[in-house]
Amino acid sequence: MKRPLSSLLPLWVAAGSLAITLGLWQHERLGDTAHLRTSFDFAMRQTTTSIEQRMASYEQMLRGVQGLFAASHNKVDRASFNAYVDALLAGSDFTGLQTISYGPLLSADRLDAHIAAQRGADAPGFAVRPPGPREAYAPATYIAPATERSLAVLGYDPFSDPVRRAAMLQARDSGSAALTARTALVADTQGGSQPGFLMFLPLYASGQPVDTIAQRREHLIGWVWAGFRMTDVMSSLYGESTPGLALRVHDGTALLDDTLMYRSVPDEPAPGAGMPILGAQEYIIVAGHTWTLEAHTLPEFAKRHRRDAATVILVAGSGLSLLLALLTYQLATARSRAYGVARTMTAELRHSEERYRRIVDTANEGIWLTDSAGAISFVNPKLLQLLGHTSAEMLGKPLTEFVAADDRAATLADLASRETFSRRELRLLCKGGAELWGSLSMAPILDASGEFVGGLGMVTDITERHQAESKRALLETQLRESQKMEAIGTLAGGIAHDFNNILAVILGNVSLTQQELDAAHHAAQHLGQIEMAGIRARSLVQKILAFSRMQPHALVNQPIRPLIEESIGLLRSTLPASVELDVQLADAPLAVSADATQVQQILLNLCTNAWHALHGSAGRITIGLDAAELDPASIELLGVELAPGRYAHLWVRDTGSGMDAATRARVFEPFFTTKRIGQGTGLGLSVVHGIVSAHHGVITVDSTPGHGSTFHLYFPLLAQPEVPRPEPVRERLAPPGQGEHVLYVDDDQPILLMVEAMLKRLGYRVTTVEHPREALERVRDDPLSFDLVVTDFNMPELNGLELAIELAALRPGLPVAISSGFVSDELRSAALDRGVRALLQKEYTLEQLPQLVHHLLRGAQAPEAAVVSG
Amino acid sequence: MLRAARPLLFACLLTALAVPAASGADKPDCSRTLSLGLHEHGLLYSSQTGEGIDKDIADELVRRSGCKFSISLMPRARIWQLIESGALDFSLSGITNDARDRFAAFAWYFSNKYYLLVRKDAGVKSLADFERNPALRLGVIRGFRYGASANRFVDSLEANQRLSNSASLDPLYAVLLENRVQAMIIEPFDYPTIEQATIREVTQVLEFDDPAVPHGLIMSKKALPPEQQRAWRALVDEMRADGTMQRIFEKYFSAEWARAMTRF
Repeated sequence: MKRPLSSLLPLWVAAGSLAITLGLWQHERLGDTAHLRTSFDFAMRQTTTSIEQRMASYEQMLRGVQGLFAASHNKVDRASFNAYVDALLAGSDFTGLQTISYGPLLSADRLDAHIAAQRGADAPGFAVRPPGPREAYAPATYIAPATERSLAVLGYDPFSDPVRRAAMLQARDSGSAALTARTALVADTQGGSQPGFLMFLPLYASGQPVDTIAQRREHLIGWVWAGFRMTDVMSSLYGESTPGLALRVHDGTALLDDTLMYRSVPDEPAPGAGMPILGAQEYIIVAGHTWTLEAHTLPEFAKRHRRDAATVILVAGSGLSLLLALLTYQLATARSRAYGVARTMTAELRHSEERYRRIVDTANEGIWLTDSAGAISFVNPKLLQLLGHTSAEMLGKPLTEFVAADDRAATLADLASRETFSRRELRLLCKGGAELWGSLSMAPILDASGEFVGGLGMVTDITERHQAESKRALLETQLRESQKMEAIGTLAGGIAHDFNNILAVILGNVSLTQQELDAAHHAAQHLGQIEMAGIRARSLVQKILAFSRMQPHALVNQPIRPLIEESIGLLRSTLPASVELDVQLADAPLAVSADATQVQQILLNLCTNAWHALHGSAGRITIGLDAAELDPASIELLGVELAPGRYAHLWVRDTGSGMDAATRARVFEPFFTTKRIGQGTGLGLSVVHGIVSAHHGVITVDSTPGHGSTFHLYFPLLAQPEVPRPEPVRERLAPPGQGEHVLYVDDDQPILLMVEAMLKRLGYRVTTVEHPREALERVRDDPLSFDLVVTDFNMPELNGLELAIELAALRPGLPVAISSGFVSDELRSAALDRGVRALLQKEYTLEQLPQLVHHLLRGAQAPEAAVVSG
Repeated sequence: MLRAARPLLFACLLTALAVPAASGADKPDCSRTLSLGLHEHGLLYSSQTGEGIDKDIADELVRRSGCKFSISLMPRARIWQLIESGALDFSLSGITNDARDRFAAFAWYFSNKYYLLVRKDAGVKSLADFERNPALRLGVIRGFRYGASANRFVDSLEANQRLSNSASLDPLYAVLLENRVQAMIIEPFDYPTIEQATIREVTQVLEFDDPAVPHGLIMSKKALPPEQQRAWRALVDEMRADGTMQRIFEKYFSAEWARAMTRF
């Protein structure tokens, strides 16, 4: 049903307009044809009229001659006749008319007299032709104009010729002019022949009635006649040929060559194709004689007369019809084509839309569109999922409603700028108030005229990344902290090393001096003070080394509770009475891998700190112990780096002044203290932190200013405690020497003096050398001279280990011991590798060197090269 | 006395009034030679014999009017041209139409119908048959008009170039016999020619659907003023009234025919 209209209508239009075109063309052709015919008809009429007119004038002229005779009572002589005719013909266009003749009707008996009379007059050669007896004669007696040619016809008897005779008789009977049939003029027969004719007019006796045929026959006396050449007659009318018309004149009605009197176009060209030929035959009466005029058009007639509008109409009309049909088709199908285009476009658009919708719906980014007012006009499923809202809750609301308050102002400014920005980090508000870290990119949407019509935003959930960054920041902080601590540790270690040396000298000399003096000596008291100070100093150095984790420790699998109980006992005696000590220990045996001494140190430091936090006021310190199950969430909450699992949870709470956040952040920093100068070293909590870390645990602090602080310590729980090993027994007193030669190498002069004095007293021969190279020289010079080499580790040019290696090359089997301010694990293992017999902690030189020397000289392996401090 | 004389007085008055009208304006003006054109048409006029109905009527008019006439023979078409231009004063046996009415006045003296003389071998039973067959040609005298349906018939054939024009009937008879035309339009005064054996044998006559058409004296409006026209009309009416016309016709037709043609 839809097809017909759009496809038939143009056809109808085409058909209709072509029909109109054809109609007009046909009409024009018909009009053209009619016009041609009219033109032709007109030409025919013109032709016939002019011929009739001309013949009528000839007749009239001949009547004039007839009148001459009538006026003269038929007595006209030759001269008068010639004069009349000459006058008649002068000044007039009678081309074609050859001669005018007069011939009397003569019976046989009057012929001779007539001939004689003519001969006697002015025609001496007058003779009647053709000769021979006849009933009647009518010889041409007068002929004018008198030319040689015409005079040659003088005497010719037309009555003898049947053709002429017929006309003569007709003229006689009718009393008016009569034309002969086609004939040849006598004058012509003598030279060049053209179709000709003669016109006869009767002459009657004057005064006689000629009303009836009988009367006319009775009173006929002769004729006047004129001879004509047809071609000349016709030529005089038209010129050589009628333009465009081929004219033929036939004598009578028969169209035969015999009857052809005139032909206007001798050689007619073949008719052109398509040129209409119009033809007609018309019958004219000339002096009672019928001539048939046959005319038809030549090609030039049509060319001359036709109008070419028909062809133009056809071509133009057809063209316009097609154009109109095309236009109609365009119009008719415009709608369907438009629909088609629209359908195609819609399909493409739909497809494109689906494609983009798929992208938007499945994007892993939250996508939203805002309108020009900043209200949300579209949200994609991912965004709804991220924020937990429904689209109804979000659509129409301003975008900033879903941005956290802190970020709202900045977001608004960004949106107002209407510029593209990307990766703006902000917090978005989820349903229920939770926050979501997002990276927002927004781009303005402009319409075709460049007007702002809204924005396109994309949100990437960066919560994880944020958390990871936070964690990383924390880890970085921690790393920095630990690096700081390590740096400080290294520094402290270096200092401690020097300190140890100094202390060793001090304590060593004090000990020596004490040995020299009586206990009752008044200086002994002072020496005791010096010793105590030195010991305190040594303790301090130990603390420093402990916090820097360079102090060797022995982790033993043991229940932690007894260690805590031991420490509590110690603490009760240390803390003042105003401080209440509360203990909450779980019953379960919680086994950890711990160093007892260090655990004690932890508690000691923490409680000291807690006590200081009370600022001298009354308060309570609570120590607690339980088992804790730490899952990743709780670990995350603690903000520490720890593997999930079971932990021994030790805490120390105070009701002191508490710490603010700034303080809390730096509480484990070495040398950080809130106490006044002189009241604390700021190392206590750093040491605790170091110890806990060494125990693979963590320490956190909860504190609120004015409400006290709680330190939480988590130690990894073990399955079963190990049986504690007994502590090695320290040997205090060393047996005397036997004069063995000891080589002591140390770049510290005081140490050398002290050691020399100490060992000499003990009965050894001592050689002290400051420089290790010198020691090498000495040994090289006399390898067997020495029984034992004790060398400091930290020396310029050559450290103790290197010296040991050199010495081993010089004299293998020579026992070497290294003394160091701090004995690291690397040193221990390297020393073992190189065959160093023992390592000595420098600050315990006084206590342990003699025993060590004794053991080494006796050949026994020293107990645990790692000489643990007391 | 006056009362009795009143009718007589009235009659005299009328006569007195009528006479001048009759005498003064209704008299043909013979102050100049009047021209009359004759055309060759069967019984109307034959140049062969110099005789015919028209000739007789012309002679009668000459006689009755006492005017000098110059009578000449010319083709009918030329006659109409000259009547229109005023170069010819009179002709005879003409019929009128809208075009001719503009330049010619008439004085009717006979009427007849027109007939189609058609060859039997043309296979034509009616005028429509003739019209339908494009091979059939009609011969007419140039310038002749007829009754309404005959005119339409002729015009239709002319539009299709199926006419052969002739100055007079004689050639048409010849070409009809030669089968160069298959029909011609004739009037009763053409019958003598038709009655010749040869033509009658090969032809049949079909009647046109028109009533009889009056024929009469043609007077050029340009040449003759209305009063002259009236005068000459009166003359013709006289001839009809006194039976002269009928008598002339009876010379050429049977009494029955003559009466039928002249009384209308």
